[in-house]
Formats: sequence, structure tokens, C-alpha cells
Amino acid sequence: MPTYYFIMGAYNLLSLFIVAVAAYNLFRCKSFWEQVIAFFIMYPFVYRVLLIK
Amino acid sequence: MTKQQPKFNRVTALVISVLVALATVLGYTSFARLWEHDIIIPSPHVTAIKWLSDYFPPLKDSAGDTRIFIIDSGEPGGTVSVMGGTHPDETSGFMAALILVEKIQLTKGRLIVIPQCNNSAFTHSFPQEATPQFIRHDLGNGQYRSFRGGARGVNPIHYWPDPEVFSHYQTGQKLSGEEVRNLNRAYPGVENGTFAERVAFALTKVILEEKVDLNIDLHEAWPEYPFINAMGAHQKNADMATLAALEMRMEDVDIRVEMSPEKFRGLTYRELGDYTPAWTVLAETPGPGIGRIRGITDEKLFVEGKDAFYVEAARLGRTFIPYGEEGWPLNVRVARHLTTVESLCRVFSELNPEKPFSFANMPAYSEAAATPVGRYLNVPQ
Repeated sequence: MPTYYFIMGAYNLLSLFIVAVAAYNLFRCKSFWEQVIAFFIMYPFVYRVLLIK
Repeated sequence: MTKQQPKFNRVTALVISVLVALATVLGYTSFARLWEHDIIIPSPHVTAIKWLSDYFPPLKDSAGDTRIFIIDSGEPGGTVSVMGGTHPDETSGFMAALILVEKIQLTKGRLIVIPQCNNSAFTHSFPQEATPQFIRHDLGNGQYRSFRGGARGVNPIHYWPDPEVFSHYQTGQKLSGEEVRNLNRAYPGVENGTFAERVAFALTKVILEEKVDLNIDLHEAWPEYPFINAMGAHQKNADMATLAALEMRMEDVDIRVEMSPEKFRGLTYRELGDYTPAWTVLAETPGPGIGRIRGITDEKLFVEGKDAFYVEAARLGRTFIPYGEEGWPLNVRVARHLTTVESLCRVFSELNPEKPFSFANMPAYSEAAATPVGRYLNVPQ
């Protein structure tokens, strides 16, 4: 189990980082379609951080 | 001086953030339902409901705990156990066991039904293969009941990571690593073993403590797999399985009997036969939703069993069963299992007159095969 917690913790940190980068860019981005793409990046990673343990 | 962001983009960003939150909440409602036990409405003939943890307390409040339904006729006789949901994606095994719980009455003996042997495997699906999370059944009165579709093995959340090679504890038999989460490779189980081994250990305890005389494990097989439309029997009860198959063939139910290979370890009909006094049989119907050459894997495939790829494969002689446009509907697969259970119990009683066992209201094969499965389920009040 320690391996599980370590790997899953690392996955969650990575996911949080990706969400943070996507959210940062979402609010700075000037292209509407790039903002739409941010949804498809953020949704699965938010989902993963909150639900998949 | 920095340039001002257009307001439009900030509004869009906010809208998208809200959409992400909304989609997560909506996703949660269906995803979290996978962690809840399915609603089972037992018939009045069910005399007791126990939990697997009653036999093996370490499983209490874990994903391995599951319900055990006991139907006692009140008349002395044999004790039969029926296992469904060892592999939840093999839908007809679970549904046939569920019908026993919700509809069936006995005249002699005692029936123990475990419809969801591997409860953990019901808590996930195969997301990369887009298998359905839930399968709905029409009750015939405008209402539906849905049950989790499940996967084959223990949820990786409950046992992870898989080893490179899985070694069967008692014999050292080597299989691929993912089989560590396959309940039907873990028997007779290990008290402090892997998740599947502990569940198998608890189920073996049920068979021993309830003094089960006959155990029947219900499954489905890939249409391109040779062990299909068949019963696998332990050598000690080969006669019973053969006679039951003959009876079924007289009802035009095509079924074969194979002996449990002595070197293929960890399966119910091998290990429970070796480690307990029970006679053991494993039954296989076609599983259109689990084979590797299937097409779209949606709820309809599991219920209606129609698949154009399998029709073509059968035409080319690549399947071990006939596969026509009519497919292999769930009602036909469940009817096969119910008939298998009834035939085995009847022959068991004939061979063991001191342990009579009989059903009061088991539907005939032709009737069950023509009736949608939902019609046999109880209507929620």
C-alpha cells in the first residue's frame, strides 16, 4: 500500500499542476477556441483529483 | 504598459470554469452510484439475508462484503448454493442468480444464493472499452430497474498494483499478473492474502459452514472461446453433470460437459470440489459483451446480444457457437442458466435420495427464453 499512496499522490500532484496551468492559461487566453479546449483538458483532471483515488 | 484583456475572454473563461465544475458534479452522481450496493428486492420465500462478513469478519464494511440470500423450504433436504457475479460483466450469471432471489420458491431443501460474489468488480467498468456502467431492465409496467454493469476483476482501487506474474497460493501455478484480481483464480482462498484471495476464502467458508452439498457457479464465455454452452464439473460429480446435460438436451438445450482440468487451479469447480465436500459445477453461456471481436459495447449488446461482427465471425467459422442475426439475448442466456440449475438439482436429488431438493416455481426453459428478464424482477414499492 505505501507504493499505492506514493504513486497516487504523485498522480494527483501532477493532475493539480495540469489543472492549474490550464486554468491560468484559460484566463489569459485570447482565442475562444483555445478556451474551449481548456475545458476538455481541465474536466478529466479535476475529475481525477476529486474522484479517482 | 500591458494591454487589457478583452472582457469577452474573461467571461468565457468564467463560463468554462463553471462548466467544468458542473460536469464534475454531474459525473459524480453516476460515478458514485457504482460504490453503492444494487437494490435487490428478495421474494417472501427468502428466509434469511446474511453478509459474507458474517462468515469472515475482516471483510466487514469493505468492498468485498456482499449479500447472501437463503431460501429455506422448511422441509429437510439437500443444500444447494448458486454463485453469480463472480465476473460481473458476464451478465446472465448475475441476473439468473437475482431471479432465484426475487422469484423462486422451494418445496424441499435449502438454497443459498450469492448474486454478487465479487462485489468489488461491480464498482467499476472497463472505461477504455466503453462498457456500460449500468444495465437497465424493463419491468413491463413502464418502470425500469438498473444494475451495475461491472467488470471482470477486482477494482484496482481495492487491489493495486498487479504483479508481473500471479502465482496461485496453494499450488504455485503461474498466470499473467492481472489474474491476481480474478476471483475465479483465487480459490480456495487465503485468510490474509490478496483481496481476491480473502473473498475466495470467505466464500469457501460459506460452503463449509453451511454444509453445502452442491455448488453451481454461473458464468459467460467469449463466443470465440471453446468452453461455451457447457458445464464444467469436478470429477467426483461427473455423473450428475452428464445426466443433467442429457436431460437438458431432451429439452432441446444444447449443452456439453467438460471435466475440470486437474492442473488448472483456483477455479470454483476445481478447488471447492477438492477442499470441501460439495459437488461443484461451473456453467457457461455465450457472452456477447465480453468477446474480443465484438462491435459497439453498449447496454443493448448485453441485453439483446446482437452483434454484426459475431454474425460474420460465425459465418467464417471463427466462433464455437452458432451466431445468427437474432443474437444471444439475455433472456435466452438466463433461461439456459436457470435450466442448468434446475436440471443439476433434480439429478442431484435422484442420485442422493437422502438429500431431496426441488423447486416449486422454476420457469420452463421455453417460457424463460421467451420472457424479457425484467418481467421476473420485483417491482419497487
